[in-house]
Amino acid sequence: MSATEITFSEAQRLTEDYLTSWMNQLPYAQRSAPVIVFDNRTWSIPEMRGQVQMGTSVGTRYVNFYVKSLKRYVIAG
Amino acid sequence: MATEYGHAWLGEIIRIAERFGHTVLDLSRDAATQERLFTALAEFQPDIMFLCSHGNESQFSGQNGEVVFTACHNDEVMAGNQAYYLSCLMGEALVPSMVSKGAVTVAGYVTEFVWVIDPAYVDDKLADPRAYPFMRAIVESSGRLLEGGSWQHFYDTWVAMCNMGVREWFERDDPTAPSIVAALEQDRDSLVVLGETSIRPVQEALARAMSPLPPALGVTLLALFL
Repeated sequence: MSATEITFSEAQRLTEDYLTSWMNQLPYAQRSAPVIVFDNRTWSIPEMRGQVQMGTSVGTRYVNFYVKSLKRYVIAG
Repeated sequence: MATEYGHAWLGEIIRIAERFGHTVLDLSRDAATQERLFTALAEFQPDIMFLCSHGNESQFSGQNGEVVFTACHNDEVMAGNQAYYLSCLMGEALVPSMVSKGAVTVAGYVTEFVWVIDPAYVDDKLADPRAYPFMRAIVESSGRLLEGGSWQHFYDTWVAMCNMGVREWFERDDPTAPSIVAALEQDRDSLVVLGETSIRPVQEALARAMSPLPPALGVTLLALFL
């Protein structure tokens, strides 16, 4: 099956949706606690979602990491 | 906190090394400096090094952010040595540069090293079930080297352990499982081992003895982490 090409904005939205869904399934106590280790430091889900929304360097690399893991999409450009 | 996990995991590698009778020089925390590392390389001449700290494409840092290695600047210090760098991104430029300067074998990661933690276990990191598959892959593959395996054995074990973690978490009914699987797959595919992959850093005959050996027979190992 060939991968579908999506824009970075779409990839960003997929990643934000995933992070939100993940956070909402966690116990309340863990929702603001560090759970992700990425780029040499720990992040809570809201922190990483903020990085993704702002399109920072870390956020952009996290989007690439997440979308690649889906094995269904390639980001155009 | 990220390097605290690395610290705990390298502690397990040290424990295994000592069980095999290897002599360990532990350069952790305040000892994780460029001066101490370079002095140790010259005087201690380790058979293998396990290093865990912050890295990027072209640099490896020690305590307090001190830059220890920079590609094409001072990485010739690694000539003749074998090392596993548990650090992000170094496989992109610094690891190839070290090998081009005469390092025998160097392993590192070409992307960010990603993992997932359970905040309930910050005081008992080795018991963290989310971090466990990552720790297992690192410790088991390093253990292969310490028991006399080659770098190819190390790499094969790494891939097998990551795949085992993927299988275990793939169908698990846990909201964090997809992130663990994604991280294990990225880390699995990110490891590169450059240089001599058939070489065995530790003599198999020595490592085969499971009980501690007299210090004179032990081989040396160096660990650097924050």
